[in-house]
Amino acid sequence: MLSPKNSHQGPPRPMLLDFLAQLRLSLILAGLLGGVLHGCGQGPSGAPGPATRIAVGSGFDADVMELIGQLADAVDAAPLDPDLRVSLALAFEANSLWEEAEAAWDAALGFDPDHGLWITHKAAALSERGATLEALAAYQRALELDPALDAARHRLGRLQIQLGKDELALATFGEVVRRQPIAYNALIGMAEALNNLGREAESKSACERALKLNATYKRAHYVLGIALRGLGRLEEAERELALGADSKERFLNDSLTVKLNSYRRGYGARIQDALDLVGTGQAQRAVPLLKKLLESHPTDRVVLVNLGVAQISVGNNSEAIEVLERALVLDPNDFAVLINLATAEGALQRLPAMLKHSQQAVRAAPNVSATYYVRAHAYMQSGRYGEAYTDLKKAAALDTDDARYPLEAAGCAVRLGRKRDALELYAAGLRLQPAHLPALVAMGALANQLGRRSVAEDAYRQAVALQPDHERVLALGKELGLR
Amino acid sequence: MTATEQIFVTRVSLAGLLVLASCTQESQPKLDNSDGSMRAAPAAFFSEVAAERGAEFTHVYGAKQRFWFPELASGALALIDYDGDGDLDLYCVQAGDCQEPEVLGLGNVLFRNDGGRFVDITVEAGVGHMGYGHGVAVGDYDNDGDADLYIGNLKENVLYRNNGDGTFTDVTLAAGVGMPKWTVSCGFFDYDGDGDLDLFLVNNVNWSPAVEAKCETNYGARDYCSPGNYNAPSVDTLYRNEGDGTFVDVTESSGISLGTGVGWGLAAADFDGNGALDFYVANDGMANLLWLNDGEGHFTDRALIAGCALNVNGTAEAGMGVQAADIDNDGDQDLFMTHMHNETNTFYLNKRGVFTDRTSISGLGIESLLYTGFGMGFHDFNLDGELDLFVANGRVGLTPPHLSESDPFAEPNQLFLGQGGGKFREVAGGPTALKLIGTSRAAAFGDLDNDGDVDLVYLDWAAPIKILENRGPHEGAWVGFRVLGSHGADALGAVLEIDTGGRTQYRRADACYSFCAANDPRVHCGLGAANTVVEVRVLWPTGERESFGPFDAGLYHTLRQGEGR
Repeated sequence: MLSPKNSHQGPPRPMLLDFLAQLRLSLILAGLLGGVLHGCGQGPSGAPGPATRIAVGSGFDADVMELIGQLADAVDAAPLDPDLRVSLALAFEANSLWEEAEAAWDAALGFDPDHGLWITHKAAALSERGATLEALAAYQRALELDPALDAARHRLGRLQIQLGKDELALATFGEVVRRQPIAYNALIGMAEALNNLGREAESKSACERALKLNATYKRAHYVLGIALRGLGRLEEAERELALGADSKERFLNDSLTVKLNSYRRGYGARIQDALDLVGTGQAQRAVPLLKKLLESHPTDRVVLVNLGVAQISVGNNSEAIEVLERALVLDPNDFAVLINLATAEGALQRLPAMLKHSQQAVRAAPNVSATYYVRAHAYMQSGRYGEAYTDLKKAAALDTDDARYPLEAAGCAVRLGRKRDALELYAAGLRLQPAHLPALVAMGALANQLGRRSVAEDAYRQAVALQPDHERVLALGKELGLR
Repeated sequence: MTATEQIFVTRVSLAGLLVLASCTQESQPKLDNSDGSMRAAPAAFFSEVAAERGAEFTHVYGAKQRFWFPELASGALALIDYDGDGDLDLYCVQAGDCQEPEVLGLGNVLFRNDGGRFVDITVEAGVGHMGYGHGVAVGDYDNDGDADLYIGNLKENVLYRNNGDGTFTDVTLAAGVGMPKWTVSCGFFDYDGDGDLDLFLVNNVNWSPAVEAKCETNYGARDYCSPGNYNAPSVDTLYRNEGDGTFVDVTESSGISLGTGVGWGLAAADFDGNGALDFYVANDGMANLLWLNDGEGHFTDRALIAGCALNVNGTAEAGMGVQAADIDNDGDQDLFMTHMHNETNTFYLNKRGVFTDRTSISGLGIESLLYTGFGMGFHDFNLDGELDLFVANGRVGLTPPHLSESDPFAEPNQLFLGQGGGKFREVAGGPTALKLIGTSRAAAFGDLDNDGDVDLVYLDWAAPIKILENRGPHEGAWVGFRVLGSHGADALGAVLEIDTGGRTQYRRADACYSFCAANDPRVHCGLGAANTVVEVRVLWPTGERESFGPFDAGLYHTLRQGEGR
């Protein structure tokens, strides 16, 4: 069971969930419903057997069934064509149908038992259905057959970590990195093994290398956090751990990856694809995916809300409002819908509607900081800074990990003439996000106005350390007489 | 706000059902041992004796096909020596009907242990509350020498004060503990070290029938929703015992209100070694909470930096049952919790307040991937001097593969034998000779027959409870301790260093662990090759230290605060 992380979320911040984990597409055992269909790699005579299928009428996702049906028909029409067998196996794999995938890969391997890449994919299916040691052996076999299969090597390393074989995992990931120095995810595999071996300083270096290659890889932040904690650098560790929360593994691609991804058909797969796109700043590509899903799921809250989110991300706020209002009909107290709706309305300067919906959001979820945050923005856009300040303080009390609340509350406090409060709020925000340049500059100027010279100079020094030539840093230096 | 500042919503649907063809026709999941070796040899430690012993109680969760979230894990179990005769009695918390708990006329049941025969004395005792129960706690909150009962319900909770004459009185109102939130696990602890038991409640989602959602599998069948679908995490509750029979809600002033979650499991121990009792809450799909007590009654959640909020991958898991125990016997309190299938159960090793997810080398990881764990308990079932582990499993959705034709949620339970140093090996044949499969939830642990080994009771969803009597084989002698504070109540949280000459075992007096259960507060200790206890050093919850002993093996001994050296 999964839930949004309301206790840690910053508002309105994406609440991405591991969708597949919730779908938990898994398999019912063969024969349980009377052996509806049979599909094995080899028939009784040793000839290739019929294709594995999904039973018609089982009610499974229609798009997946259609794809599998087409590919299985093709296999049955040309049973000696190994490429068709591979396509069918990939289709199962792409849709998380692991036992069928395993059977289908067996069928393909009937044509070429020493095909390392196919063995790699069969190993993935084995691993997903819990046959860890069989998967381990399969990856090793694949690498014996084809030492260039870094995708297999990377997955082997992951299994070794899972099994506590950290020295082996370190060597395995190290080999991937030696062969592919830009494989940031393999670097993180190394870092995980190093952490487990108590070699945190080396782990930290590996994480930093990975983050230089891909700064958005959350898992790198999390593993770095563990390393920093081991090194006793607790403040930095906590920040990195928070940045890395809810991270996901990214595996190396292989020559079948593109085809594999093209077979992702299920509702869950496509929703996850869309979420991934939005989460990685590619909302433009997510919109058509979600629109297509909406055709088959016109009253699905998840589709409606995430389409709304994607539309907001690309600036189509009117379209966002349209779908979010449809979602609101399904549940008038859905605070996620209300927050996003208010956000879109705010972008279009529809302030009464924004205020109304943000107030509804607060009523629906009074313990969720995001609701106060969005209402604070409604107040700020209406010039009601006193109420905005109250809401931001409330948000900060509910979620003590998010720097935006105290920092934006500080901005309101300045407008309200509450300079001493503002100074405290800037300090609180900067404890959470020490590298926030505008806040450092604002705090420096404010502290100077309040006669807190040492605080001002300290803020200035930190700002200089971040961006010495920034226009606002230079101005602050002048104001303080330090340049 | 920028365009990147939106909220994504949680997914509604659950598992998909698929009919497939298979080459192998294998119908059972296969699990490998982490080191590639064979599993531990079959050893039928337990025999199921509930009906034989007269403990006939069937859990009822309400109308079928309604799929209301609270139904999923309802019911609770407590082991309580309510009559002070030295043996454990059994209290079964019933669910009934979510909307109208009393409509089915099914209430909680108290069974008195009469020399191994359980007799229903609910009516005489006056504890047959009907409240759609989920949690239960046992403790002598009024320090009058007998065990009281607190029941966590979907709506108002109930406190039964033990009158000391075999009857109880509902004192919820007078005590001020009738929390109306949906409470699951709960426990009595002396968090402020003042000698009386306070009360911590884990509250699940803010639920009512009005917020129920319709969730479906991919093939269109109704199924249970996940807690994320309700968007309604809750704040847990801390009541401070005022010492006069009343409690004060200190959730706000203690700082507990600053954390929200979808909690199921509760553990309490001094995790950071500062001498004050801390709390740990296992959340379902949200980061777990580690409330560190500053010794002044103020708590701060430090789970993220301490390393027990998220697993080694940085992922929040579906926390269900939890236990704090010194699993590697090095003097600090580790954590273990049960999770959904496709997640491992997770072992967080504690080193001076810093936790490391060491599931992968524990032998408890991949072995749990296929199951959804709920109740669990570490005890030395075979008396070899190492903690073993029992895990009660059962699904929460119609996710295939199904392991039972009659119950799509059913899974087998698991028994792991400790190998020392925090490593375990699963018993191949399971906990019992006769294979049992059900949808298990709460599990309570204790020595029901006072023969020195730990037995257990577990609740199967919509089925009769099971009592597993420990029948060995045993690999050593045993010793047991009742640990009483200066007021005469069980000193819950007291830490014992049991010195058997060549070795020290660290154990704690603890009744609150597992999933929605209250357990035997006595300390049980298998001695392995040793046959005597040289000394027992006790760290009392109030901070004092005393030594006791020597002690003979094969007996229960009572340690009273103030009577040691």
